[in-house]
Amino acid sequence: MTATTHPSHPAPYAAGSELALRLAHAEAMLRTLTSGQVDAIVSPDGKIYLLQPAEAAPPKDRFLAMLSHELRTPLMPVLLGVDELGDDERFAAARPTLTMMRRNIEVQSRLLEELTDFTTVGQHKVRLRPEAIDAHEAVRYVLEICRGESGTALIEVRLDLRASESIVLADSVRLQQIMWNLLKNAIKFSPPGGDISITSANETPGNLTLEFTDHGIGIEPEFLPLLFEAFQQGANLPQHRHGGLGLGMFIAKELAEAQGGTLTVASEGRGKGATFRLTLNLAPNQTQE
Amino acid sequence: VNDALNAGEHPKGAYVFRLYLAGGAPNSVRALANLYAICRKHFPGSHRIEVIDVLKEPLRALAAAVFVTPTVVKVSPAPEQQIIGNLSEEEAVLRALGLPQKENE
Repeated sequence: MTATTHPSHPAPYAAGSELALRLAHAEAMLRTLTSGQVDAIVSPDGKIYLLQPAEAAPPKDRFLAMLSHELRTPLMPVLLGVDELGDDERFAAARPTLTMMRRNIEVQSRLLEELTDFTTVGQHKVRLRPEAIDAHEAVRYVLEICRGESGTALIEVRLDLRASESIVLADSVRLQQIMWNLLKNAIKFSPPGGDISITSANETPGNLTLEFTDHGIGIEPEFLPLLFEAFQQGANLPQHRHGGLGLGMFIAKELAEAQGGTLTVASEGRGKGATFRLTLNLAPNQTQE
Repeated sequence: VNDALNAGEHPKGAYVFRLYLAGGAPNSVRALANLYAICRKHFPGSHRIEVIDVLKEPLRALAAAVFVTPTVVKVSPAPEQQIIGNLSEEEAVLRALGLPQKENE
């Protein structure tokens, strides 16, 4: 070990000394950083972290929860009315219009559902009822639901569910919601005629890993850290034109973590698709020892 | 944001600024507008503003030791200096960058 000697410094706070200047600079810097005037941080590895506006907090959440509930309620009678008209032979000619109306009401309803979920999930208020369920079966079920929806017809979804253990401990409704979000997301960002694969594996003891891979528009590296942030789609991601509130992935990740799982994403960059990795806990009696 | 060059008529003694911002983030947009206003008022015809979007060019930010946005770097006249924030306080900006203040009013 070598001892280092320090040259003698002038008194630390002497006016005009380098240290005094540096301190003043640091102080000014700190003041600006905490003044809400900064909107992004560049990390030493070149990642950009956009900061949330300072006021994005509880009162807004409460307002959103109330608003989304209030806005959803009137949609239900409208939906029923549309269905009634659709069943009526006298309006047979109007069926395409009624179908269009139904689809739009459903979209609206889902957007509002996202908002409601965001407020409960974001505040960790969601109630989960974990049970042993077959994740493979859930994947097939969700795929079935998505197939019935518009825009899915041209996308090929390949299943490669080869995990030998697939009974996980999860809330079945919420698990389906996560999968639905991942699948819809993959479909949304795939070009017509594109393909999506869903694979499963038991990579580590006690876990099941599901990977949803698309070959769509991909995600630029600087946007990866933002992907699971609420409202990021509209605000900063280039996927703005794809609609939605940008809450789906935030909700999916929160729900995965609430049941002891993880949700991560990887992408090679723009135009190179993306892979979402969902890891879940196997139900205890199935875990190999 | 892209077309942010305002080439000075008098390259000699020109004021050159480099503004690092994050796309259309609120403070970034404000900083750009404020910097333009300051330049138009104090250095009309002899300033140049180069805009660097760190979302597109993060490495340039790193190379210049810019760690937050918005950051404005006064490239010339020397010495090079940088300040952060949305540049809403004109006087403080000019003082911090060691620039002359024109008393217009």
